[in-house]
Amino acid sequence: MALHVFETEKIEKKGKDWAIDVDILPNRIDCMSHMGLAREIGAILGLKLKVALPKIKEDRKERISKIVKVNVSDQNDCLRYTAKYVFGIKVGHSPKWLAEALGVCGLNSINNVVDAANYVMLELGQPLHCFDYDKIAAGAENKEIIVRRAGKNEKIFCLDGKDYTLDESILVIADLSKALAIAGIKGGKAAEIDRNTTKLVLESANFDQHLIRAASKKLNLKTDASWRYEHGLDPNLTELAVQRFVEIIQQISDGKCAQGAFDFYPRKNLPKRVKISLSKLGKILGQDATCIQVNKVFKLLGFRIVNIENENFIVDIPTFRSDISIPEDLAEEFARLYGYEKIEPKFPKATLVPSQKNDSIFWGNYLRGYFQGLGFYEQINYNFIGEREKDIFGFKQENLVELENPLSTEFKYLRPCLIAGLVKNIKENAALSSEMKFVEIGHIFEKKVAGEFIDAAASEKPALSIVIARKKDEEIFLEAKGIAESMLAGMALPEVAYIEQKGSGIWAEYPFVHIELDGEKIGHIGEINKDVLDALKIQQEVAAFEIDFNKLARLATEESYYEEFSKFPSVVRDISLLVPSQTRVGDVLDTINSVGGDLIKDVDLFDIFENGDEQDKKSLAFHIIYQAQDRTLTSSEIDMQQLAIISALERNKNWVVKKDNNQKK
Amino acid sequence: MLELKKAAESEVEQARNPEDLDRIFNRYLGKEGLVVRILRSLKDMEPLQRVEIGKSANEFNVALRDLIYKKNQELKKHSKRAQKKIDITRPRRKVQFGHIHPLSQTFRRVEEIFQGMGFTVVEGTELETEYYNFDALNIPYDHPARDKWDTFWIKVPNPEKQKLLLRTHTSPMQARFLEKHNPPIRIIVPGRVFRHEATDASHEFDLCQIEGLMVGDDISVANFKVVISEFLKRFLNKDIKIRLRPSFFSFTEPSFEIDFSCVACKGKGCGVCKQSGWVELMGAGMVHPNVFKAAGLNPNDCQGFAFGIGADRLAMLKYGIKDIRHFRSGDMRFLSQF
Repeated sequence: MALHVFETEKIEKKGKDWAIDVDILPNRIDCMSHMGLAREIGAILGLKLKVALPKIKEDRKERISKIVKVNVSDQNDCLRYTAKYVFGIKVGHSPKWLAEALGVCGLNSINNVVDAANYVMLELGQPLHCFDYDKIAAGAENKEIIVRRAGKNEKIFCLDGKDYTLDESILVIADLSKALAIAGIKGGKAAEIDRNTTKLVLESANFDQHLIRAASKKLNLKTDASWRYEHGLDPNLTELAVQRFVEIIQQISDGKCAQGAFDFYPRKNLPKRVKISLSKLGKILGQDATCIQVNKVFKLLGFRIVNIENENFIVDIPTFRSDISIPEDLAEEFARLYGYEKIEPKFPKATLVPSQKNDSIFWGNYLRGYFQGLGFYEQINYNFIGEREKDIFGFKQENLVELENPLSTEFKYLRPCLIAGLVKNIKENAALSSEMKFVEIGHIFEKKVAGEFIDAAASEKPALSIVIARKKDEEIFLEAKGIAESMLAGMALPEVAYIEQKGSGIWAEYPFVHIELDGEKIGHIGEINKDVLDALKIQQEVAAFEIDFNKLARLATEESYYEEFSKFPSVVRDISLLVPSQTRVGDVLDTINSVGGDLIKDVDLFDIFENGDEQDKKSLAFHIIYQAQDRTLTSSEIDMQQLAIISALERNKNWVVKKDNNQKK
Repeated sequence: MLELKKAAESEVEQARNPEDLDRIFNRYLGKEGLVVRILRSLKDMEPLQRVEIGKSANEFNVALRDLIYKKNQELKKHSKRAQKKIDITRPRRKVQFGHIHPLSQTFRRVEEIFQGMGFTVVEGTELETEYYNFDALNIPYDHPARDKWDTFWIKVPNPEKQKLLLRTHTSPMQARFLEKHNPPIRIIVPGRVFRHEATDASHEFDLCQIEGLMVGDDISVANFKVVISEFLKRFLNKDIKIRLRPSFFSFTEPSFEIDFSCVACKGKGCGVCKQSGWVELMGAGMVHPNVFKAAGLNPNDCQGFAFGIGADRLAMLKYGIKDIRHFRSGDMRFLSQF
């Protein structure tokens, strides 16, 4: 069965009977009944369904037209309304077979009348409803049932013991004075069948599926009936269901019924005519089918073949198959009964179009490899943050994209950065390791409003973040910055500026820098605010950076060019100097580089020392590596450069170059 | 000269390390060494004596060099460095290598396989409009098919005019891509999707998915079968069978689910495949004509298939992970295994 139509979940023995749980696909409402499923199985097995027509006895003395009249106010709301009058019944327990049959299908037995209605619904798929005739308000000539929209704030007390407040979008079944049922969804208490009921009006109707669905959603009330209606039942089913109900009632409760039925059915549901050619069918499946094969399958499914001309099939689709309307639907019907397993796999004959490179995917993979090499763990955190994170990390409510229907307050907003999640990862792994390095690439969200709308495109962007956590590491910021520097250099983006700024929110005020590329800000590096760490009871120092991944992927290049290396020896000279402790190494380096010229190959800070003899001073020592591309440098050339550097450094009155140390090495 | 030779030989004999040998070499053969001095003094000697002494000095030179070389080789053999042995079982400092998330590895592998078959990787946004997530995919507002997707809606300033959501599938990229490109089309769309549902060992509300779309003049079900078998074969590194089972998706017609033969029990039935021998993998089908129409394409001119694979599920199958919640737990004990 699974290969041709539906999956079966489980087969279970219940009493003397067996229950099969079948996953009916939502477009196959025709199979939501024992008859429908039997018909489908018959088609699969090549057997024909036999439906025994119900045998009922009608009392010629009573004519329905004299007893009850149905008034449908809008034929778009109610497609069909079939009613039958049954009298002389005795409400009581159901016979054993009926109660057991319902029990196997998971329904409780209520009384013989209600059970019979439910039984017919399960058997044929048509929901039925019974009204106690005596409880329907009397009209001038006969009793009247009205199908109309509810009034604003109209109330109804239903069989589930709850009050519902209705409005004009909801259809009700009413008598002249009150609503008796919410159409297609739930019956009301007002005309409920009880122990004293002897006469009833049976409803077998069909309502607009969209109307029922909207009402069911609005009232938050889903029932077996509403579920069936909203999937689009065949209106042609009502009559058979009425007959079958009466047949059962007459078997179990001596009921009699009036002659005829009331039937409002202004627009008969006629079979749809659909066409498909053998060539179209073959093209969809990638395998040719013969006329005979197709003919056989369509016949098994009960499709009436109107004409086969030039290999074009013109078929009339039975009205219960509301899911079939286009040639592709017919192709599916053929394929599933013929068997997908018989379709031979074939490589497509397609034009050779090379696949395009995707920069963001490429750099994402490159960076994952890069960080793996550096010992980072890649994290994938939830896209959501909660109220608590908002407060701890100091996110501003007005910048957050908020969910209308969050799962819980823990997942109320979309994350505005990746770092919050990574910092939480640090806390949650605290018992496993004191040193942690995490990286994440993912989308972040910051609300951008344009007029009355959220600008979705501007509110979402991919980002790359890392965090490093280590206990008692005062220089952890420098490590994060160093990683950013070498990462960017590896992506051929060496000309990056790090602009010192004051951090806020999740960031400590200091140290904090903006990363800028050609004047465009692409990210920031900093340490995490100590208040945040305290709130999360994180004991390590934590440094992090976050970079706009789109800008990164756009600006990066894979291209690298080889530069001939110098074949001449390099010479190392040292310079050490004493500077005020607040002096920044970067400024000293800038000075050295600015006068050193092309001959300086590299400058390397190899020692930094504070708390020496002189308070408020620190000593810095650099290796300066000289090398020329085209010759061996002479001592005098290097001496001149070295002197130029020293005098440039000494132009700053606070910087003292230590003379004795600056010797040849 | 003979004495000199004897003295040198005995010194070499007694040398204990290469430094001793260096000293001996310098004393006799170095720039200011004894042999050099003798050779230098030759010019003041009688011609006959000069020849004799010169010859023996040279012989001494060669013999001593040889002797020192041999002794040096011998010393090396017995040196600590040559004899040093380490306990190779003793652990030292570990080299810390990082870990790439199993979902990233899964995406990467899937992307590589499909790129090898000429598919281009494209990405979409996680915030999506109601139109692209539903309407453009033939899932109209009042259709019960919408109930299949439990949706996270975004709070917007004006809900009457804008409906924003977290995409429930990667399929909106089908519609977006078809709008801007003409067939032939071969794309896959890896990305995150969101479902408003409670989590348990096999359900997650924040998921990874891979969408595939191939459209041409006559791309068929038969073509789909071969492409997806090839993908699975390469991804699982195993020869597997697939089967197509009828299903229903609004945006494909015909629609099917794909199962593959259970790798764990080779189709005999086990816990992984719920005793059926088959493991459910993904939904797929032939692109519905209404999807082509909504994208401005003529359904008579093009035909193709689309599919959506749960990447979490794929990773669980590949690595034998039993609980989907591990992926987003951030737990280093989990991540360090990949």
